[in-house]
Amino acid sequence: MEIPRDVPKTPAAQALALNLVTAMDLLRLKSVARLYARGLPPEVGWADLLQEAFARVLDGSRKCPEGLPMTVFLSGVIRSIRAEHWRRARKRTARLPQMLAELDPSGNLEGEAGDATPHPERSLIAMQLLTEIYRLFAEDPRALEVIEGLFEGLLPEQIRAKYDMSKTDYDSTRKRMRRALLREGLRWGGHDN
Amino acid sequence: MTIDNVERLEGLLYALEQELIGATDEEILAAASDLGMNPAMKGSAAFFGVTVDLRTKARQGYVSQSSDTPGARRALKDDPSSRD
Repeated sequence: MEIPRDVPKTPAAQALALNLVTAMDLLRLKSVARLYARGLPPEVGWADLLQEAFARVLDGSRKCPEGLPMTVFLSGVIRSIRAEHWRRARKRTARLPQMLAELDPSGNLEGEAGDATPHPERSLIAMQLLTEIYRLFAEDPRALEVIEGLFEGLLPEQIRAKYDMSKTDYDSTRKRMRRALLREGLRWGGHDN
Repeated sequence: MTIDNVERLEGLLYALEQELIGATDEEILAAASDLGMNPAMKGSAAFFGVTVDLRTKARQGYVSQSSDTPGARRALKDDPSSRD
């Protein structure tokens, strides 16, 4: 089916037309955007992260350093846009204690500025996200071990040593993980997650 | 979840991002095939939200007409005129 002519091209489609990326790169980046969109405020979807990243490259506000593959660069831009959304969301919620303090004549409020604990909402979202990742690999005990190792910040050799994995076993586990992640990233679904 | 754990989660996400970026074209096509999608097909659902604006298309009723979504395949199967 032909795409109607009156629909403007998305920034990603423009980048494809300009040969900045391949069609397969677009699907790689779609999967990355979907991974990073989880837990963001409801008004921000994976397609927003993806298209905003392409828009910034196309308008020249983000320039890919020479020699760096465009997919690597764009996935970094997606990550930084996500961080911007997090910062904005935190700023919005950080104003709440101040507003409450102004309303509370006693001025007794805990967890104000300087509190080193992460924002409860962000902690909750982080836990939900981790649960979702675990659920994605629930049927694959080896993949769960790799996830645990990555969560602990271990290097591949350390993960293999900790869970007694041969290199072949580790490599095939990562291959299964990539397939599952790609399926999750490409699956049919809405714009939001 | 402590700050440490939130940072660890960021590290995990970064590692998974690297897996996705490092996926070969064959792995992407295989994953798409698992979902019944064929990215080589024009109008493939794999590109909705990417080269095709989902919200614009939804308004135009285009999403339901994609040729490689399960719904579209069911519709084709049920439509006697599509069996020629």
